[in-house]
Amino acid sequence: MHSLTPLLAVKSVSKRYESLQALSNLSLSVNAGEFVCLLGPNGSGKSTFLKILAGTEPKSAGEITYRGHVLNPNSPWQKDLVMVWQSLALFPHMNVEDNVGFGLSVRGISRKDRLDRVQQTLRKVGLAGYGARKIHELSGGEQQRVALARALVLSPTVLLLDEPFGAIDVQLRSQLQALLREIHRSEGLTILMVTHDISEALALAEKIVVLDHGKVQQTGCPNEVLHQPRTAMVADFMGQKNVFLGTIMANKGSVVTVRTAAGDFRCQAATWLDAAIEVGQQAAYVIDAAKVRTWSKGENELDATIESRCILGSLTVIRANAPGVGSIRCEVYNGDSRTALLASDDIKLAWNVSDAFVIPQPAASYAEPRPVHSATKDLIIA
Amino acid sequence: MKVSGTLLLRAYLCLALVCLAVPVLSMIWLSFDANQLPSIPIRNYSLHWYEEVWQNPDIREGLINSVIVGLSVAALSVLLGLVSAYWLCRRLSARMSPLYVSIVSLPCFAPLLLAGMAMLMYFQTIQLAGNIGAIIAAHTCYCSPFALSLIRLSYERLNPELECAARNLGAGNFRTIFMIIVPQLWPALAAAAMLSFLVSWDEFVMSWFVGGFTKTLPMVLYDMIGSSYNPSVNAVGTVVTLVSGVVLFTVLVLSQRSQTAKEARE
Repeated sequence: MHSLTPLLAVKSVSKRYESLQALSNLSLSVNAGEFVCLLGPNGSGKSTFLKILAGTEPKSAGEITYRGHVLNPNSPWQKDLVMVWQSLALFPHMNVEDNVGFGLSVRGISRKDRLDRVQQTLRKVGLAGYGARKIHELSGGEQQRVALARALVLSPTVLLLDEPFGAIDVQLRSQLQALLREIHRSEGLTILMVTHDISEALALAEKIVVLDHGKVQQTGCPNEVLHQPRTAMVADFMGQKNVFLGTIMANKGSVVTVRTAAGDFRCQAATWLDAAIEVGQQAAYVIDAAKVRTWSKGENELDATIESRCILGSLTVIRANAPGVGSIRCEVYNGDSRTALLASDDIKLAWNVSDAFVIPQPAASYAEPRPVHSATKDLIIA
Repeated sequence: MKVSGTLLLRAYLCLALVCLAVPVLSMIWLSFDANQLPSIPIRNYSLHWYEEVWQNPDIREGLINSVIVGLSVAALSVLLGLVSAYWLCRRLSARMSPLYVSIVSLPCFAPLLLAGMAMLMYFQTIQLAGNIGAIIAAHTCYCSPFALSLIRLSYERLNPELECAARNLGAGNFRTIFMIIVPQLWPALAAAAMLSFLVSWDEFVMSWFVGGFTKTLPMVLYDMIGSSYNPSVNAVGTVVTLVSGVVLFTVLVLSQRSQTAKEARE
């Protein structure tokens, strides 16, 4: 399925509002049939990017090509990219059938063909027989299906989804995710989906693009983004890692020592990063939450105070606080006999050198860990 | 204490309503008096004056002119209001929109007398003065800001993604406006049209300045009062008031209905 030229090639696209740089120098290539998730915190520019692709927001600079042709709102190729909006944007004065059929009637499809295709698509999204319903009579999940059907009925090459499952409950959301996965598989659609939900991106995407402040932080498959972060922002945002900021003090025989506000810690250089590690450089020290042990000896040790405990299935997620580095997340199996000891408030954390790694940073690129609410972060990973 | 307060309030309300209604109601009542000099109590009820009015060519012409002017003004004001509302809500930056609103609202704030005179001078230089077109133009200048503010209120509440969605599905400007925007704004558009009609229907000062020998109904009435007392004024007044009342009532019902429909949807 992967041809040499990507289906969609985005070259240094920027978008500037009056006082805000929403996107800067965004480049990205999408292959035919790929499911790409644009992941990032609020205000990272991901929706803006999708609207530029949808042809409803002009870009300030850069170029987008589709199948090698320049894409702009007036080009005939724009019709191949159809969007499902965050607010769904269903037309409230039309019934379900007219909403779904709107794009077809614009394209001049005869009434009979239109009705056939609308019925077919409604069946596909599980809304057979809903054609005559008014939009405001539908539940949230049904409205999302209508929005999806309105895009799918046009058999687009690229489906753009802007947080399509934002406002619905978890159960319904997983149903709709399954539907989306099914449609992606059966129709061979290329999907670009914007989300701030990490678990959704991990569950659906073949490729994840992490955005922050309008810049691409990392592009890769879910495993890479999760386990081999290239920037401190990605390591922190994905939620499963602890990130301490510090300075590289020594680099001897593949062991790097990083001085943080809570003391010196040792780790290995990340094999997937090609950046040189130089003494004196700013760096982010990263340790996986699952690799932090409690009440045991280790090559790195840290005393901390427990802030909260949260049971998630077979895991207990502990948030501890150490002076200088703030909140630390660690995951302990409930079967672990030491869980009983967790009643105490003071805790000794330890981890191996081989479980931690360092990401060298240009000084200005990552100032402070993003203030993600710790409880939210725990739930994101669940 | 509480009861008497409520009573006082009610009495005040009744008094206010009576003061407002009595002059109009007495005009309507007296229009049915057959006497040359209407007096209370009325001895002979008749539709004599209505017949008179119907047969008076001046009044008939004024009526026709007023209807033509009113309908044209309503259509033009709504069109201008819709376009301006679109610009204000979707295109202009937040910094520019107050400036835009102030400029388009200027004709409303200038004293009518001066506005009428200024328009007469301007229309004379572009050779538009003295015909029905001049009256329509003057009224549209005056009415369209009202139409704009009514339409804008509704437009601001419209989800901008609806238009984006329509465009993304392939609709051009024309289709987006007439299939997506207008159907959702129609209560506001109708209200704006009727309000513009009403204002134009009653307007005298500007028409008098720019109209020349083209007379609308209020101008005909003025002439009738000016020359000598003619009891058919009452009949004309009743017709004018009735039309205004019906239009106003429709506006109120429409806005009420659009409000409840919106609430039901939410």
